[in-house]
Amino acid sequence: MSFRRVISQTHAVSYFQGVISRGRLGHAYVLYGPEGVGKALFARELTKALFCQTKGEASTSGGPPANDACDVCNPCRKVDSGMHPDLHWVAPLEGKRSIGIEQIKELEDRAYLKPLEANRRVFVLEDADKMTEEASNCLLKTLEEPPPGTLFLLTTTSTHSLRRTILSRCQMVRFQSLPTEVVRGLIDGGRPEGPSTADSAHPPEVRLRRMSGANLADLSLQLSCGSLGRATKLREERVTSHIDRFLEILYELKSVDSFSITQELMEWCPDTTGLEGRRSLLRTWLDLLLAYYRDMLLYKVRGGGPGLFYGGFVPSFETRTRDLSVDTLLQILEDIANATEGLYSNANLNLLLDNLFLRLASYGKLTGNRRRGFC
Amino acid sequence: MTYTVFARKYRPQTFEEVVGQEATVTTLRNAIAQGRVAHAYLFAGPRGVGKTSIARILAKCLNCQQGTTDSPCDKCDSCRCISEGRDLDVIEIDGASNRGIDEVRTLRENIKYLPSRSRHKVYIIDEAHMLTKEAFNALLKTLEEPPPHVKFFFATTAPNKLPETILSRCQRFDFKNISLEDIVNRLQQITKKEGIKADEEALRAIARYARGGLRDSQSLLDQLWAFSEGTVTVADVQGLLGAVPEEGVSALVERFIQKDAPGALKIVNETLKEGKDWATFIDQTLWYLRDLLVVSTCGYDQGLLENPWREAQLLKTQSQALSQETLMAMIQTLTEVKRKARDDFQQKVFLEMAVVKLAMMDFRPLSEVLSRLEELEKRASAIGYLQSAAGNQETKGGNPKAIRMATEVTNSPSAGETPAREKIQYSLPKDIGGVWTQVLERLHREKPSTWSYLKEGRLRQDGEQELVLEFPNDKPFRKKYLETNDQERAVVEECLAGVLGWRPRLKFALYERAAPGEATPKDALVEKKVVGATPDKGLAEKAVDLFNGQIQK
Repeated sequence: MSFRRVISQTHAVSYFQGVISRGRLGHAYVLYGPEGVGKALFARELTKALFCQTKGEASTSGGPPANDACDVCNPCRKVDSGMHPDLHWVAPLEGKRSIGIEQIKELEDRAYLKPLEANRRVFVLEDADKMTEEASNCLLKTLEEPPPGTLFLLTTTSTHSLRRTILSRCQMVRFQSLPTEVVRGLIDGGRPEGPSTADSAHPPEVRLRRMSGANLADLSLQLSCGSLGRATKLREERVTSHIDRFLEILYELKSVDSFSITQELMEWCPDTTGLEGRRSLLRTWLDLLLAYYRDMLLYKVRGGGPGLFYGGFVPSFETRTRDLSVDTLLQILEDIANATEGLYSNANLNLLLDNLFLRLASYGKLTGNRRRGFC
Repeated sequence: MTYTVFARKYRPQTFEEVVGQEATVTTLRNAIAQGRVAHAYLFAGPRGVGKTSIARILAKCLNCQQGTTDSPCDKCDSCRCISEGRDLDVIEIDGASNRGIDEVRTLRENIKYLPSRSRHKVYIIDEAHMLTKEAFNALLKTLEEPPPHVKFFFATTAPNKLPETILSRCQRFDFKNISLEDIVNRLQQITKKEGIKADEEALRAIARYARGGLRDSQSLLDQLWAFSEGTVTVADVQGLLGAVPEEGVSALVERFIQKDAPGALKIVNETLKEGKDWATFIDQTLWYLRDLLVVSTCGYDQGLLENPWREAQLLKTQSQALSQETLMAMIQTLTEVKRKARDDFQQKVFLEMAVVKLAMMDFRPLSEVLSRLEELEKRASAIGYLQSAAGNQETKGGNPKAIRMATEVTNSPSAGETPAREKIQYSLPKDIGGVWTQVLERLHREKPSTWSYLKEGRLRQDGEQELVLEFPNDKPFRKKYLETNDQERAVVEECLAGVLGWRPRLKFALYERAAPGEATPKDALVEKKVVGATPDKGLAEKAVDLFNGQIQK
């Protein structure tokens, strides 16, 4: 069976199963939810459930539950291999960032033809928010009143990125971010990562500056916010091999020369990955930085407790946040957020980082001076 | 096999069924009744309010086989074909898909042929805003003077994208968003027909999330009904949208009011953990803050609120707890989060940052800030006066306490002759020198012998209720005289009490004179004023004489 492959989206699965069994399947759905939680996968499985030849018998013979695909019949395998003639998958063409009007016009032409093998045609628009203005307007009329037996599935990360005219014609199905344990299970194959013995051998002050395997795993899971795609990205070799040094820099931010930090970071994100790859790696580092200061903010405001990204480092936060007021921390976070924004607006990366780290260093110094001044 | 969604199933087929567009409907019906149907109409307005539906109804009115009427039969072949969008003479064009000049050229070629069976050939051009500039221009001549059998109906959500030349050739109808009540009523009709059980509160919630689009509300209802087992409840609606119960939002705002950042963070984290939709959550909070702003600006008026069913009392108290400036800053901060966040991680962190900020936010109204600023200005000038007038010697060593005292003193009303006794018991007027001058004047009149002892003295403030009477250090016997002589002392205190309105405790001290025998500037000032009392009077009398007038009080 195949809805089983869709993990932790019980709401969506049971919704569609209920709708199909009651014969109330609409003609247009928006599947929205965070990146990498299985929206596209779900669209495929739903198509299979609709096209599957055996679903009727299966439900009576006590096999797989009603309204699910068998995964073995002809249509199911055709969908799986992407060869089914009645499933149309629309995504940005290679080398393009958006779904153009030509693609939608082609889709419309096909929608008005009778299905070839199944009893309906399914159109999946992956990342529907990538439709150009022309494309989404072009879709409106067909989306509202398609020929009988047409099903549109639009996937997107947020309903806010779609036009209201599109949304108004669709029913919305929300996808949730995956629970941390599920992501962990998917990455590690369920293998638990206890703290290694080598870690506990270190004295506390060293341990607080090092990422143990378990800490790192936790951090990447927390930062992924329930998106499998992000979790894997954080576990790349290029990130994990530098994480200890990164933490060290965080500790010595005030004393280390800001320009050398930039240099070091840039070395971690080598030219060979291309500009896009470089940006994406830098984004990861800035995210780690943002998470760190966010933790300090939370610590300052409400003390330790669950929900911190760097849970293992709480003992060090007391001294680290002593010099920083909530306002300063907010300002720092804002600076990091702005720098992250700069990555996307084509800023010079070196200058961007220089600026950021100079600012960060100055906050530490300023508060230090102020303290001396008053005491 | 196929199931028709509510939005299509309940598309209005006659003018009677159209909801919330009374003005447009009345105008069009009158036009039909009087036989004045124009050849080009433009229907503009937001999504899901009935533009395309009205265009189709109008087409039916014109082409119904029962004759032109404002209530088409909806049974004849023409009517049914139009409803299904397959009539030969009512050509519905998707303006967004057929937007080029070539399509318009084809249209112009076909336009001259008479309708195949009906009286009119109707072109409904939907999504007209997507036609290209060339296409619009190619249409202009035809649109202005089409053959008598042709009608054009444009429908668009963005009339601002249509060129003026097109707009001026059409009769334009602007469609309104549909009111909450109208949506709820329509939903109730549908639930009755379909036999759906739904709480009224749930329908209200649906209507609110639809934001004025009837189709949005129908889609939502459809979806809820398709899934629900028994009754449709508010919880179902919120579950479907990932929305937080209204209590959750007001609780969060209450945390902001209490300046309880940890509590606010807790609410946000619990919300996100439950898998609620963060964007919806921010929207809900924004709408709530907006309602508070409305209440604090216009008072409580149900008609203006986004959610008229909120608890009135809570809204009123909360709107009083936050200044309008704070509310606006809060709305701005939250909006920025929505705009800036790129993915879930940023959403989470930015939202937390915003929550901490909001919980610390307390902006005073601008008028209040201004008045405080003015107050400060007054105090600053008072200090300046004290420093220059009260003598440089006294504060030369830097006596911050005296300055601080002086600033506090300014809280009292100006140095009037009779300060309000009940209100301010122990406050000194800022102008101590002035007080002393008055005292001396009084003594001069009442007991000149005491005055002569005091005329070179000066008054200084020490503590809240104590005044220090200082004498030149070269005349220590004067100090001694007053210290020992209780009677004289009582006279002075009486005099002071008369001027100040309360009886201060008096202490005595000496001050150093710059050069013995030579009056300090301050002494000179006092001397001059006191002595000047008489010459001044003389001056007035002289003036009276000179002008041959009289003094009027």
